Amino acid sequence: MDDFQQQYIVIELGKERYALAVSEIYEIIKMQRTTEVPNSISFMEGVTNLRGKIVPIISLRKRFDMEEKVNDRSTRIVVVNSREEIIGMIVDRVHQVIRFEEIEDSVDSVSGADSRYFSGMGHSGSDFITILDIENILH
Amino acid sequence: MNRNDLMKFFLEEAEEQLQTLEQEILQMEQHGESDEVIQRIFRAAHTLKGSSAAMGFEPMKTLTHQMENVLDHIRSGQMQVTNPIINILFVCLDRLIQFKAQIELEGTCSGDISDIVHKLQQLIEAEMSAQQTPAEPANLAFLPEEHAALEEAKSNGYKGFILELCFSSTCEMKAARSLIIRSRLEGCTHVIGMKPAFHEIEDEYEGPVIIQYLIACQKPIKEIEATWREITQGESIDTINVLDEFGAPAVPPAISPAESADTFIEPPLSASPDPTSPKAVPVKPEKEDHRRAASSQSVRVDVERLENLMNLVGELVIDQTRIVQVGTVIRDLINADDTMDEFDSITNHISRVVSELQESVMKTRMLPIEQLFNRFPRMVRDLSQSIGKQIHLVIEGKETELDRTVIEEIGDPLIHLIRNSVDHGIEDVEIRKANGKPEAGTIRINAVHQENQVILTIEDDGAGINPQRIKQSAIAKQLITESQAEQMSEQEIIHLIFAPGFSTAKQISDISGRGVGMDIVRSHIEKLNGIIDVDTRLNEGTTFTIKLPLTLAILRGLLIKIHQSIYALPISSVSEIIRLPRQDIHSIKGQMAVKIREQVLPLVWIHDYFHVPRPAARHDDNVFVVIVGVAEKRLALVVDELVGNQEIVVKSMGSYVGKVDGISGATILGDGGVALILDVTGIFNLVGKERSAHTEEMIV
Repeated sequence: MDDFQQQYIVIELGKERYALAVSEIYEIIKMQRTTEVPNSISFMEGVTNLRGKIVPIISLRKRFDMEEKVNDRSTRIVVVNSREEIIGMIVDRVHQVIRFEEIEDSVDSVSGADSRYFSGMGHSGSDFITILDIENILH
Repeated sequence: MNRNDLMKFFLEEAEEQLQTLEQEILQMEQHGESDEVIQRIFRAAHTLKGSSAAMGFEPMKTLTHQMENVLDHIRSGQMQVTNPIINILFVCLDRLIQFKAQIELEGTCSGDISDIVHKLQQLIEAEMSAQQTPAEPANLAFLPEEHAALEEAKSNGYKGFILELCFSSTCEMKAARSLIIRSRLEGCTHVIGMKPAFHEIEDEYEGPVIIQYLIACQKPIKEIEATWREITQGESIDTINVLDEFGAPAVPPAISPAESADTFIEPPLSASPDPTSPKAVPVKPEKEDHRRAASSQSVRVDVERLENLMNLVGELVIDQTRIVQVGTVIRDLINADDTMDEFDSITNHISRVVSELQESVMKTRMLPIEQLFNRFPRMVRDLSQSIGKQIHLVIEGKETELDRTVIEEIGDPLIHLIRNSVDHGIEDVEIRKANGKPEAGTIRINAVHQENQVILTIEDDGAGINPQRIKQSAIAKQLITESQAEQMSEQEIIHLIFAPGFSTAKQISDISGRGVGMDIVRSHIEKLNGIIDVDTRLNEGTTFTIKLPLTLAILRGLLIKIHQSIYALPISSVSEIIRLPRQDIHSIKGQMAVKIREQVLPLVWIHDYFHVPRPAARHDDNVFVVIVGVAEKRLALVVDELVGNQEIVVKSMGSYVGKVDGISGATILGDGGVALILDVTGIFNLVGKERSAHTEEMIV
């Protein structure tokens, strides 16, 4: 029943909305200048300077094999904490915080992206949103 | 303090004492026994006994207690230091080191020590039974008539004291000075005797000399001490002491003022007055260093705190470059005025303070390489004994300071090189004799500062490296083909010892030749941004030279632009920057090359490896080329633009980004952006891989 209490943040990527557990998020920042890292993993956008720390930034669009989009005023970096490292993920937009009434474990992939990236489906009223599996997305 | 803190403290102290034990036992083996050395060994064992007893480490306590017993017999002159004793002391030391390791791992120590304890007891028993007669009455320090005079004075209400001083080795006219001091003493007290006598002191003697004056006095001890201090003021006197008439310290250390911390060198630990007073012993100069070291003031600081401090300074360095950069922008925006000038002078000042701070913090991270070097004498001793070679180890530049992380990382490669010298470098005694060399081989290890680098050399007077054997071995191992070998210079062939999978040892001995060899040594050193080189002469010996940066955290970088990104190149690996016309780039056998002062260097467009477009032709059709090098290898790197050079703070990119070929880390620039740091060794590897892939294709 704990899941009911858990809060999620809704992000937008293209036409899709996804949810991320608040507990997994370190902070949300505006788009930063990044420095490309040659010969790194395919969805790596680059590295940036976050208050003196070098933080890798990945592109969620690239990870989901979506076409790239020019960054605009609503582009955000969701910084998460994974395996004791801080990593940023570029998303198109960050929406409100949401509480799910019910969470389904299994997910039928709707967007065509690999279902490995999703950990479940959250219901809130008539709304349902795919919950992201950060661990599998990053690694 | 909880148990954890106590444990930490115990382990730190144990480490220190074990190191002291090792050094001093070695010293005793090499230079024979002396009161000071035995005293120091005794004290280390004593300290260990106390702290292990406090922590409840029973076997450790028992063992140190038994060592103490034996040492006490040596100290009191009842036993002579012999080889078996030294060997047993080493056995004890090894066991103690094992205990310490066990404590570190398991929090406790256990194990049977009865064998060693038995041996230690046997030593004492053997000695005692040999001396049927009780030990000779202690050698009376002063002449009998002097003692008689003292007794007489005592009956008149005087007290006897011995005032001791040690003339430093640099002191001139020691005999004369001893007399002057005596006459000054006469002025304020009654001097009964002096030891050694005036005629026994040699003015020209070059070592330190200890002189004692026997006085009879009615004044309180504090006053005597003050007077003695006043009389002996001067540069040529190392230490002074006030002892009671039996030669034991007369002033409890607690009363003595702070500056007398080095006055009471090695107060005897046993409470019993020991009438044996020292003869005018020539003290070896190196022992003086110990005294100095013991009295230097220091504070223990947790390494983590230092790391943290260094990180903060790193932030400051970055912010300071940013302030300067923002300042120039503001200056362009507003008209010159006083406030702006003031701002400039503030930024200048901050820059100065920050760079001084940086240097000071870096210094706190520096340790003398002694820590590492001190491990070698024992290692070489054990190795040479096990393979029956005689080796004379010379260590120089112990005091040279290096960043602690560099010291940690360089340990293994150095050990490997020394093992190699012992095993392969120095020949067997018969061969040395046949070649007219001294029977004992010499290995010389040296550390010295040179600008912003430390140069370490490991030199032996052994057989040298035979290029013919290297060549054959490399061909046999298919590292090179015979035709390749034909074209290689002797120097290039010798450098093959650094190639992966190369080892010339015919037999795999216990010492080296495990196949990991020199390539690991080289890669370790390159990881530290260092360079290793070898110079060898057949039958004369081999010298390995290692150049290392003083610190890894902050380095000077050349900023360059490739495509749209700025990269930093460690200045230490840049040998030259040139601009040359595009038509000077030649293609030799399908590979780009440039000729610079008659030397043909491979030319590399790093753009291709990083998958970015090469720069468009400039209007003057020139290209910027940076010549970079590792060891003796050089290559020309084409860059789009030169941006400048500055101090860069090396930051890791973390394990998520992982290892990227050609990149060693990242740094933050003045504008807040991130620049990647190019790893020259990595670039050589990248290019090497590509080239060999290329040639294979051609063969197919």
